[in-house]
Amino acid sequence: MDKFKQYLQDNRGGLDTEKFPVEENWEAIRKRLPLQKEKTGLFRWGIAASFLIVVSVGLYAVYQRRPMDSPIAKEVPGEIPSPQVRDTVSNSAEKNMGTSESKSRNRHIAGNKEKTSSEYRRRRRTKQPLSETEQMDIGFQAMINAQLRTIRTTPFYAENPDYFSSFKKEYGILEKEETTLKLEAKHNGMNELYLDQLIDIYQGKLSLLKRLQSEIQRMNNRIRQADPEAEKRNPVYLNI
Amino acid sequence: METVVSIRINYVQQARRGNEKAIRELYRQYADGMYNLCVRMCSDTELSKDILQDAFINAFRNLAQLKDDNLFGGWLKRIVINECLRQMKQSKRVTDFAESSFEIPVEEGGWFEDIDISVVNEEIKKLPDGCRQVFVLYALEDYSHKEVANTLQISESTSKSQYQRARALLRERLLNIN
Repeated sequence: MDKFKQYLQDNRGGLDTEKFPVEENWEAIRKRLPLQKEKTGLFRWGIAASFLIVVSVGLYAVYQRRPMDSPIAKEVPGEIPSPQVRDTVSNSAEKNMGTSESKSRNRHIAGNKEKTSSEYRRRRRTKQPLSETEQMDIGFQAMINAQLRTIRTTPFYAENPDYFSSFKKEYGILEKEETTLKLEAKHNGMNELYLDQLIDIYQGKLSLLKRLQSEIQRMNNRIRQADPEAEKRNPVYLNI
Repeated sequence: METVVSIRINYVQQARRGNEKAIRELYRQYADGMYNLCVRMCSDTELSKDILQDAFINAFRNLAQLKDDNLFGGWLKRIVINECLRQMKQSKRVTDFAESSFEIPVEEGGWFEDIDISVVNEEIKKLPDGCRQVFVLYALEDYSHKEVANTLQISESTSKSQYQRARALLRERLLNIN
C-alpha cells in the first residue's frame, strides 16, 4: 500500500463530513417498501396472551388425560417406577444399546435442571413489581417447564434413543439464542424487536416440545404394535 | 463489539420480514456513510440523494438475497456503488476512462501529512470523473485494482493509470493550496 493511500485509510473518519437528511428522505423510501403492518403494543400483547391461553388449555388437557394413557399407569398400577433418564446426545456409547435396565444409565428426574429465575423469586419476596415483559417471561417459562416435565416423565421404548437427538440439538440452539437475546436486552434495554424475537423463541420452544411429545407417542404406538412385549421391559426417559 | 454485530444481525433479520422499525434503524445507521460514498463517487449532492434513496429501496426489497447477515454493510455498499454507476450513466455523465499513460511516480514521501484531511476530501470530490471513481474505490474503499476493473468494467491497467492520474492531480492541487 502506498503512503498516500495509507494516510487516507488512517484518517478515514475525517472524510465522511456530509450529512444525509435522514428524516426528510425516510418517507419517500418508506412509501416504496413492502412493510409489515405496524402492530400496536396492545395487539402484540393480545397475541402473546391468546397464545398463553391456548397453550395452557392444551397442557391442562394433556395432564388430565395422562394417567389413563400412560404406559406406566397401565403396566404397574399404583406404583410409579423410578424412571431412567437417557441423555440422547452426550452418551454416545449408548447409541446402539437396547432399553434394558442393565444397559441404561439411571438418573433421577429430580436431578434435571429446570429453568427457574431466582431473581424473580427474590423480587416477589421483596414485593418489587415485575414488568409486563417479566410477567410474560414467567408465563412462558412455566409452560415450557410443564411441557419439559411431561416429556421427561413420558416413557419410551425406542431401540436407539439417538433418534431424538435432533430435537435436543434444536432445543439447545433455541436455549442459546434465548440467553444471548436476554443478555443483549439487559445490556441495551428491552425494545419491541427484542420482545418480538423473545416471543418467537418461546413459541419455537413450545412447538418443538409439542412435536417431540407427539413423536414419542407415535414411536411408542408403533413399537407396541410391532412388539407387544416391549412395554414389559423397563422404559427409558428422555433427558432434555 | 460482538453485541453490536449481533444487534445489527437482529435488525437485518427483522428487516427481511418487513419490520419497519428495523428497516428504519438500518437506514439511519448507514445513511451518512453511504451518502458520503455517493457524493465522492458522483460529485453531486442532489444526484447522490436520489441514488441513495433508490439504493436503500433496492437493498431492502432484495434482503432475501443476502446470504450472510453479518455482511450487510459490504453488501449495501456494493448496491450503492452500482446504483451510482447506473444513474451516472443514465444522466449522461459519460465517464472518461480513456487509456492514458501515467508514469508511476517514485514514492514522494509525506508531502500530504501537513494538509488538513477535510481539504484533501474536498479536492477528491473535484477530481475529474473516471479517475475520481477509481481513486475512491481503490484508495478509500480499499478495492484491489482487479475489483475496481470489474466494477467499472475497465482493464486493470486502466485502473492503475487512472489512480496514478488522480494522485498526481491531487498532489499538484493540494500543494498549490498550501
